[in-house]
Amino acid sequence: MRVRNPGARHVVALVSLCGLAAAGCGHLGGGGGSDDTIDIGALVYQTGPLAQKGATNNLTMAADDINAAGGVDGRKIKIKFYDIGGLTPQQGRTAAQRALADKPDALIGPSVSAQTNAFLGLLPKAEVPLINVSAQRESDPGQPQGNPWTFRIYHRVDRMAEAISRVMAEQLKAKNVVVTHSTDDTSTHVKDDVVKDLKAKQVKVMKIASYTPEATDLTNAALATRGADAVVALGYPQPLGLMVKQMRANGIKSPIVFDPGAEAGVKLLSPSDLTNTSMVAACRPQATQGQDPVAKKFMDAYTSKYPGSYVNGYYYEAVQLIAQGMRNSKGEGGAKLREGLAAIKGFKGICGESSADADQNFIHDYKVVKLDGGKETLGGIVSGLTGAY
Amino acid sequence: MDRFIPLLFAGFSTGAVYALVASGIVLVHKASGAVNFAQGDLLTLGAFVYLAFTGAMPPMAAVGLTIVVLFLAGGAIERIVFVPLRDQPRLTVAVATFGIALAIQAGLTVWQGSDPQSVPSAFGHGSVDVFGTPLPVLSLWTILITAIVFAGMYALFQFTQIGRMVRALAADREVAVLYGVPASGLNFLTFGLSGALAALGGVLLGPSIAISPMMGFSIVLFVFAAVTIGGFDSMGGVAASAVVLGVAQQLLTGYVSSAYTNAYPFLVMLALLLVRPTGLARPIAAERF
Repeated sequence: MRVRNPGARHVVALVSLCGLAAAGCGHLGGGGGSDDTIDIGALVYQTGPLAQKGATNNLTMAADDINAAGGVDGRKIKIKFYDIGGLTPQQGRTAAQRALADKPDALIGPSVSAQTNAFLGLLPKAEVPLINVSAQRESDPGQPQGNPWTFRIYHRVDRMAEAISRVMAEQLKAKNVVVTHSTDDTSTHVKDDVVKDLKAKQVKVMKIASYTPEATDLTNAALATRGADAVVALGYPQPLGLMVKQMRANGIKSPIVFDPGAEAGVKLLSPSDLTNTSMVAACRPQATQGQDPVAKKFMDAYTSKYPGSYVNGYYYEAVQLIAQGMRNSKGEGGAKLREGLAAIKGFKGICGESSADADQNFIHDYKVVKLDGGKETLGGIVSGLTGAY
Repeated sequence: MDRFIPLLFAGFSTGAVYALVASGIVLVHKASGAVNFAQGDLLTLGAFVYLAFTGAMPPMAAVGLTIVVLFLAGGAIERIVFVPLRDQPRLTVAVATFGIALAIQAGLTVWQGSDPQSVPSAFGHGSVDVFGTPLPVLSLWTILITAIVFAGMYALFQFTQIGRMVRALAADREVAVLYGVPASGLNFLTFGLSGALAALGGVLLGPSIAISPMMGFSIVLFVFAAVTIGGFDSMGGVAASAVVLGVAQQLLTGYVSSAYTNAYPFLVMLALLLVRPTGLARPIAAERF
C-alpha cells in the first residue's frame, strides 16, 4: 500500500502501534502467557564458558514431567530460556528485561546474586514472581522484606553457615578449625558467619586463609590448614578443587567440610583426595536417593534421559514449586501466584520437604553429604536451622 | 621452615611451568621475530589432548603422543598463519596470534565444554618426604623434567648442526638463507618445538589444577612478565626469570599477603626493570626479515 498523504501515514502508524500494543497486552500485571500454558522465563547461562547445560536439562525435564502428568489443571508448562551470557550485573538485568517483555507468569534464576539484585526493582511493576537461585544474605535486596516478588530456593548465607558450623562442632567434634575461602562476595559472607557461629560454639578458629577466585596455585592456603582438627572450605568449584588437591599433595589429611559451591569441584578430585571430606547442601538428590523415593525416581529418570549431565536439583524443584504455586492460586498469575507460592507448606520435592517461611525462603533441612572415595552418601541431616546466633 | 620449604618448592614448580611456556615464546620469536600470544592456549590444548588420550592408553604413552600432536600443531600454525603473514608488519602477526588463541579457546569449548575437568597424572600424585617435609610428588617431577628439557635444549642449540642453523637464522635470516640454511624446515621445527614445550607444560600443570579452556590464558600474562624480564631472545634468561617470578609469587603470597597473588609477578617485573631496564639477559640488536 502506498500512502500519499503524510498525515495519513501517521494515522496508519498510530493504528498499527495500537494494534501491536493491544496484541501484546492481553494480560496486564504479570502472567501474560496464553491460557493454555504457564510461561516461565529461565535466566541461565546458555553460551560461552559459563554455559549451564545441567541447569537447562533440569528445567526442561521438570517441565516435561509436569506436562506428561497432565500439566497444572490442564495447562502445560512452557519454559523459555534467556541467555545471560556473562557475569556482569548489566547482563543479568538485560536478560531479565528481555524475559519480562514477554510477560511470563514467573521467572527462575540467575545463580549470581549481583545479577539478581540488578533487576529486582523491575519485578513489582511487572508483577512477576521470581524463584531466586542465588545465595543471598538476609540483608541483601534479594530478600523479600525489600521485595515481595522474590522467593529463594537456594541458600540463605546465615543458614548455610550455621549448617557448616554445626557439622564441625557436633559431628566432627572439632576444637581447632581453619576456615579457607575465596574472596568472592558469597564465600566471604559465609566465612564471616561461620567464624561467628564457630566462636559462639566455643570452637577455636586457628586461621582464616583467603585467596582470589582466579588463583592458579593455592599452596599457601593449603599450608595454612596444617594442624587443624578440621577445615571449612568455601568458594567456587575450581579453586576449591585446587585447594584440596594441594592440601593432599602437601600431606595434609584433615577432614574438610565444603559449602555447596563445591558441588562441581568434587568432580575434579580423585577418590583418594576426597577421603575424609563432606559437603552440606540443601538439595542433593544424588545423596538422598537411598532414603528418599522422590529423589530416587528423579535420579533414575534424569540419569537415563541425560546421561553424564550435571544434576542441579534446585532448578528442577523451582519449576515444581511454581506449578504448586499455580495450583494454590487456582491458575491465576501475578499477585495471586505470589500468594500461592508463599502458601506452599510441606512440599515434597526432590530436595526433600520444603516450606515457604515468612521471608519467602523455601526452607529445606541441610544434608551432610559424605564424599569419601568419590562416592556420595548421606552422612546426616541438619535441621532446625534458624540463622540466629 | 614448615611453610618455607613447601612454598619454595611450589615456587620452583610454578616457575618451571612458566619457563616451559616462556621458552616456546622465545623459540618462535627467534625463528620469526613474532610474539606468539597463543602459547598459553597451546598449553591448554596440550592438556586437553592429553586428557583425551588418557581415556585410551596409559598416561605415559598419552604424554608422548600429546607432545607429538602438539609438535605438529605448532608446525601447522607456522604453515597456516605465520608463513602467509611473513611479509606483514609484526603487529599484524601478533594480532593473528591472538586470533589463534581465541580459536583454540572456542574450539576447546565446543569439543570439551567449558566445565573444569580433572586430568590424571602421569607422574604420580600425593606427597613424598624430603628432609622431613612432605612435598608434592608432581611438583618435584615438574622441576626435574623442566631442568632436563632445558639442558636438552641448551645442548641442541649449542652443540648440534641444527641448533647452529637455528641460531644463524635468529641472528640474520637473509644471510643464513644465502648460506644455504633451510629456513622453511627450521621454522617448522622451532614452531613445532614450541608446541611440544607447551604440551609438556599442559601435562605437568593439568593434573595439579583443573583444566578448562581458559586455563592457559590465566597464566600466559605471568609468562610474558618472565619473557619481558628474561629477554625475548634468551632461553636462559627467561628460564631464570620464570623461576624468580614463580618463587617470588609464592613467598610473597605466603609471607606478605594472599590478596595480591596475581599482582606479584608484575610488581617484581616492574621492580627489576627499574633496576635493569634491559632485563636480565644481555640485549641483542638484530633485525629479522
